[in-house]
Amino acid sequence: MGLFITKYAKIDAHALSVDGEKKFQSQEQQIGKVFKSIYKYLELKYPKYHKMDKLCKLGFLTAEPLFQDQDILSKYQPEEIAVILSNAHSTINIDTQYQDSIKDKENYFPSPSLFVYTLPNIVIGEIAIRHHLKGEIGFLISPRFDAKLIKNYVDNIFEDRAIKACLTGWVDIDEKNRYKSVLFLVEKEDNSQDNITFEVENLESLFN
Amino acid sequence: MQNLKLQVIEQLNLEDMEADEIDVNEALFGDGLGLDSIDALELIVLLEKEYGIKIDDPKKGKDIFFSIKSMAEYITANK
Repeated sequence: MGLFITKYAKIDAHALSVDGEKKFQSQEQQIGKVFKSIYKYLELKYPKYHKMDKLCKLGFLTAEPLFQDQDILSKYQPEEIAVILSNAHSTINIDTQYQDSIKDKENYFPSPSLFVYTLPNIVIGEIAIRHHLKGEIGFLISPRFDAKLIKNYVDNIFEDRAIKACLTGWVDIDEKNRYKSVLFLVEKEDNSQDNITFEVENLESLFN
Repeated sequence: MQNLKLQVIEQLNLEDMEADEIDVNEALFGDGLGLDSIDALELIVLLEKEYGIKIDDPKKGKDIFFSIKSMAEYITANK
């Protein structure tokens, strides 16, 4: 099947890149401030952002440039856009934070605002709510970015024919706040000579 | 109210948000700060944990938690 990567974005080493071009380099060091500086660079006004955990913020911010020009949202119905993400550390970052918050038996107040994020699919939820996406979703866990797994899975959901576009890629942060996210927009249409074929070697090349 | 803002930020896990970014008259739910029903639970826990105030009538929640100012007024009246 002819699928193409029509746009991609990356947040890594405190920088945001879109289609291989660095757009913003944060001067902050603390990860929360790095993400907030990217949020400000993108000129977002989305109060729900501040409630998100770090994994959701990372996925949300990486996805934002891919939808900002609204082009893809005007081309397809919400049900035609799928979201398939992956990572190695699931939600360990917020899991450890939540675990820490309930370890004191004398002061036991489980926090809904923490444990609501202890499921990686919530990253998809936050992106889907923001951009009104209603297609198939899935979150895959693998030890490292697995381009073959992503390619096979995404190829299969396009076979469904109801899917015309897919946001896919890697959104990962560990318990020590080491992170990387790379997201790809994949479409059936080849509407530009700049588009990259959705193949394993291209995914691996763009990821690194 | 500055202290209450900091408590809300901590309770709701609003990481990297500063107290000055919250207007005391701004709506906490909906279009304001964008809080939702899960956050409402957190605010109920906050009142109990920090001020020993239990809300026995959930219908009052909408008025109590409208803004930082309305929360502060309720706390002052019921401490």
